[in-house]
Amino acid sequence: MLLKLENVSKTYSAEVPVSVLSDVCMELTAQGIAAIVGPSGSGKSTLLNTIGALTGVDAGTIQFKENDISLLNPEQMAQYRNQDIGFVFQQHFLLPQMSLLENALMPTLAFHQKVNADELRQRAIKLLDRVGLIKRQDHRPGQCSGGECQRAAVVRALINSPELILADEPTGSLDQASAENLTELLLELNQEEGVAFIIVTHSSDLVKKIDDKYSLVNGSLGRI
Amino acid sequence: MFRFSRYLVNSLKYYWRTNLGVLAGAAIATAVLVGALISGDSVKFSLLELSMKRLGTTEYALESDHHLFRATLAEEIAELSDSDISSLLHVSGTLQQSSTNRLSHIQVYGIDEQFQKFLKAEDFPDLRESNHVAVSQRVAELMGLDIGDDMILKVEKNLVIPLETPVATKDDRTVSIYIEIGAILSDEQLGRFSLLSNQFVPNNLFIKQEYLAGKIEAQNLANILICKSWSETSLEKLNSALTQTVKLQDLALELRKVPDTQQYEVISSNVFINESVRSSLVESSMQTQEVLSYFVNEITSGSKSVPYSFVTGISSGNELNLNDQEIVLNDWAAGELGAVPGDSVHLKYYIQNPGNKLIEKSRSFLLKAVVPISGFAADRSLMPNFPGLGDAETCGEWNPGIPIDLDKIQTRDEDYWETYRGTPKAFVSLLAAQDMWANKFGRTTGLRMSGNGLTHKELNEKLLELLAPQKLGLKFEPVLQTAIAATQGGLDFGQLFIGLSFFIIVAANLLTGLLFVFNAEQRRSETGQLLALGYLPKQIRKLRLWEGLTLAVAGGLIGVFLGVQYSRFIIFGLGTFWRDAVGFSDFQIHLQPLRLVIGLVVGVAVSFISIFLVVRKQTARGAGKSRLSSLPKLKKWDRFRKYHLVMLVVFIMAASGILLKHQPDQAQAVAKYYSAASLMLITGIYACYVGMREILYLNRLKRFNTVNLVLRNWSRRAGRNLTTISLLAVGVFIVISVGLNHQDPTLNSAKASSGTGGFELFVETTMPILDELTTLPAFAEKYPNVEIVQFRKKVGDDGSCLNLNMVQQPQILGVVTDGLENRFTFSKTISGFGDGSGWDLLNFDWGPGVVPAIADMSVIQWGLGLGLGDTLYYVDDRGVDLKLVVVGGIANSVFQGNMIIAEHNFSRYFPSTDGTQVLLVDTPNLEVDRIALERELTDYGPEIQRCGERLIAFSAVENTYLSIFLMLGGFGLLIGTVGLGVVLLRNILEDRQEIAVLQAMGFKPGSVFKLILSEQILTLIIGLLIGAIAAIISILPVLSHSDPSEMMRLLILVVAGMLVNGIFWSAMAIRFAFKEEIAETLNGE
Repeated sequence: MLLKLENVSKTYSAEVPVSVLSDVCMELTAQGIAAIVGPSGSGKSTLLNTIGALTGVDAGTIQFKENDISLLNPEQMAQYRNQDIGFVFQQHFLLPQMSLLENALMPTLAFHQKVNADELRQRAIKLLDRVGLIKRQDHRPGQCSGGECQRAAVVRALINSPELILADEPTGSLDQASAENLTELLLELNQEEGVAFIIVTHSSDLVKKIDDKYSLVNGSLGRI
Repeated sequence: MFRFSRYLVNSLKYYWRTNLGVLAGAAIATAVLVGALISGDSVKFSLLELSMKRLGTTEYALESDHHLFRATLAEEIAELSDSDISSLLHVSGTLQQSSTNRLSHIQVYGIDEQFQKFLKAEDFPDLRESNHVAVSQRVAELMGLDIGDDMILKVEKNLVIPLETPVATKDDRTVSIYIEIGAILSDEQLGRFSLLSNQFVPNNLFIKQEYLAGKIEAQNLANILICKSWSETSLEKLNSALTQTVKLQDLALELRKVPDTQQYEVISSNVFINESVRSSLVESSMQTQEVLSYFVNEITSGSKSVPYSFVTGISSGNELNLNDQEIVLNDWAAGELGAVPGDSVHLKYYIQNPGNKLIEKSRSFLLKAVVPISGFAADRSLMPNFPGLGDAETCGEWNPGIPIDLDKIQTRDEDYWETYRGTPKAFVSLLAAQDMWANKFGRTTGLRMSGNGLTHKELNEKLLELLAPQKLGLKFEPVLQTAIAATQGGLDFGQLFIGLSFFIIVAANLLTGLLFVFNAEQRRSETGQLLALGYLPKQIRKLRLWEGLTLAVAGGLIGVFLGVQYSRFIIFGLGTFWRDAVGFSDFQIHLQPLRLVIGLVVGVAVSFISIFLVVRKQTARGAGKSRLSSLPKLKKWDRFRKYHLVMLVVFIMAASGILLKHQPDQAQAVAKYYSAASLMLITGIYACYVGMREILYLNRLKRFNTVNLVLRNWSRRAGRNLTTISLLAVGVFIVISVGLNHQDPTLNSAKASSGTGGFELFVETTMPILDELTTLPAFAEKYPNVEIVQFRKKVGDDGSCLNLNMVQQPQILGVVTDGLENRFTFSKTISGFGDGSGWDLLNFDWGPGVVPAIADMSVIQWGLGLGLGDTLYYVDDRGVDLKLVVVGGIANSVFQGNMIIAEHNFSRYFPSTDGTQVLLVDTPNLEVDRIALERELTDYGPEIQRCGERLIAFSAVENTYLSIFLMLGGFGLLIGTVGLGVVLLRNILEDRQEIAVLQAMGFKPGSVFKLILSEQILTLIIGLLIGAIAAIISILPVLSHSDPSEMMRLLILVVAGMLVNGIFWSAMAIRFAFKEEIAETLNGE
């Protein structure tokens, strides 16, 4: 089992505490792909953030390859985010001063890499080529379309060969055509790269193409 | 009920961290303003307190520089003016306890019983014995004296007649008095009594007037009156009382009846009659006959001669009726000479040159007649009462101020003296006599008048009507009022410290503005919500400004408290480690509520303006954009990059060219280094700009690593980083280049063109030196290679930068300009008068009552607030207004504090000032000659100072101010670097999504921290480096003659302090920013 969530709960403290996740349980196998749908404010993004160790949980456990990520120290958490998982957000969050290639390579600077820089560069170029951006590799985000940027963000998420990619409404800010392209790409990469995906989405087209579907309503996760 | 005030309070509470910063900025700005204002007031107050201490309860004073008056004048005026008046007999002296324990420039005051009344609270100690004296604490401290110690006090005597009076004896000028220290006076006991407007502590000694007067042969005489009114005694009333009570004697005059005639004669105790008196009487309706009698060395005719005789010149109106070539002999002289009318008769006589050197002159006359010794020719009273002659019973007792060859005196001469005394042996016309013997003291020795039937008393009264004392310079002056004006009109320390603290004020306001805008940016979403709720932008701006005003007022109130502490610090500094700037330490804090209010209002206003400007700018700009969406446009750069690179090279070459250019002139050399440094500063900032653009432009992934990432990030924010770099560089450059640009006045001090004029020693004597030292054979023999230029001195205000009071009438020095030719450097001279050396300007004739003067440029500009061509007003010895026109300014010289005029003008307008009291000595054998000179001049009470040391003392003032500027400026820069932290906080706020993404990618918080901090450190280092390099270039001339290690230490201290402080606050800012949850940032929640 790649990922296992057991009774994960999270409450935001306020004058009136807001329960966002309530006894959430979920499993994902290696190279698996799961889609999570739900209305706005249902806690989808929070769920991804807890899985990505961007925020902690109040109760329950999240095990990644049978390791409880809540037990990791901050450095181990950073390494987990850098090596084991990748993020794709609704906004691409590419750095405007960097080319697409450089943006793709950004995660490689965070930790010492086992492979050398040239190999990483080749991998980045290969991935960019794979997503159809080879001619755009030296362009900056400002010179590219939203779809291109989002594809570059996917390459950035893949650069360190993670086993899981967390995609938070990746097509949310794209036009119809770009969204379809990206959907196809993610599914293909799931197969080609052997990387598991958890995709939070409102896109019914995307959901249709994924077998493992979950619905998050009022903090409770259930299979569809 | 929800009110706007609730929103205000809640907002202030919720954003307390940043609001605290805004508050601190406002508090610091107000504190600096309040502190500076209080310091200014405190200095003025302290100076006023000092003035009160030096004056006691004195309100008015009458000082007579050139003659003595009756001490009883005090009582007489007091009776008429409802006031207490004390008469003082003031002389200069030296105090000696042993051969090594000696103190010059002792101000000796002979005091009467009334003096006690001029103390404010305490009693003047009772001096039981006549020879008991009271000395000031300063004198006691300097000499290590205690009550009961015996001393020798050496003072001037024979004050009645000016020492330089021709023919009068020069001997017996001083008297030594054995005294015992009876009391040591505190300041409250008038220990620092002085009528001069400055803060310097005089070396005072008080002695019973009667005793002193007896010793210096000035019985019942005084030369100062001090007055304290009982009620509203006005100056006019006092001077009117003076006019009513003054007698001819008080004006150094005497009215006597000419024996055996109906004539009266006015004579002067000074021998020669003051020119004002002469002209007043001659121009009156009194039909005055002028007489000028002089002691000649020899009357010769043919081969025969008569030695040492009086000859009289008399104006027309007598039976002689001589023209200017004719002479009349009495029958005794004619007999001795064997001369008959028609013979040629020669007179030999001495005149004195300005250096008191006697020059023998002669003049030939045609003998018109021989008259018997009878009638007017037998008038003994024609002989003036020359000291050393008038009282002599025999020729052997003669002791005039000219050499007498006793071998020439024969029995016949003794007999004549015994029979006729100084009865003139010859008569010439008045014009001829005045042509030969008129001098600076006057052109007559007697003024005769018929009296027109008036009695002696009536004539006396008439004369007093004609000779009002005020016209002769004898009048009361409002010394208290003058002192108050001087303390208030001097250097304004309030303004000075506002100027010196300028960087702190700017930095504090910058901080206020930055923190406030940071606060506002933090609340951008709140602003959006308010807009969504229907608020107008101007309403939101108003809300923010109300918050700002509340913070500014609260900060201002705290600032007032801090300002008081800051002023305490300044005052403490001025009294201790900055003492060189002010020369005294008796400062007291003086708090004026109005000043606190002014400081508060100005401080709050300045802070609020800072807030207003940033709020206006921010609301005008709208909500800021995230950095993720922006990147500088590089298309233009692509087109012009080559030109920029060429420009950069041109800049560097231009700066190098200026540096390498040889510049012999010191002032221009300083300008050269400043120009090169400024250009280097601009070049450095420009190079940064080019570098940033190039980094972005060369956007190729050659080596993609963390350094590259830092550089990219740094370059991307070119505008903000360049602004930060520029501010840092300019700040460091100004603070260091100005603060460390200490003058070394000893540089090239051996050169004649320097501030020393090439002289080694500056000597000031207590007693005047009458002789031109280098022309004295004995002196010239001992010191063959010593060159001395002597100056006459008219005591006045110290016009140097050491005097904190307003300078009104600086001390005047009179000099024969020949000795100064090609010495010193003139900063400026007036054009159109004279030529050649600037000193020649002093010899140009500006007409009567106008005298050209030269002074140190700093005195002209800062001490007097004047420029070339401006006029200073004095009153000369005759009581007539005298204008000193500033015709030249010398660059930083030993003359600071003085106005220099030509000797002939000095003698003309201040004839009663005896001898010279300031000497400039040029010697090749400094140490040996210094000691020898001190010994040689012991009788004159010398105070010998190396010219270089004197310049150092003056430059210490400026250098101390520079040090203060360096310290306060450095502090301002430190506050400025706190502002860097705030700027960084704003940057992080804008970049928080980017930071969150980096963390989401797996960057450790520490790595991101380092990444951001590195960018900031890069900005800091580059800014500091550019500023420091430019500053070093600007101070290269100073480094070459000062201890470079000391300078570099200070420079490193400032730069390192700013770097460490900048890093600290940047780190704090990053830590603060990192508290935000990554997830929240990414989700925008």
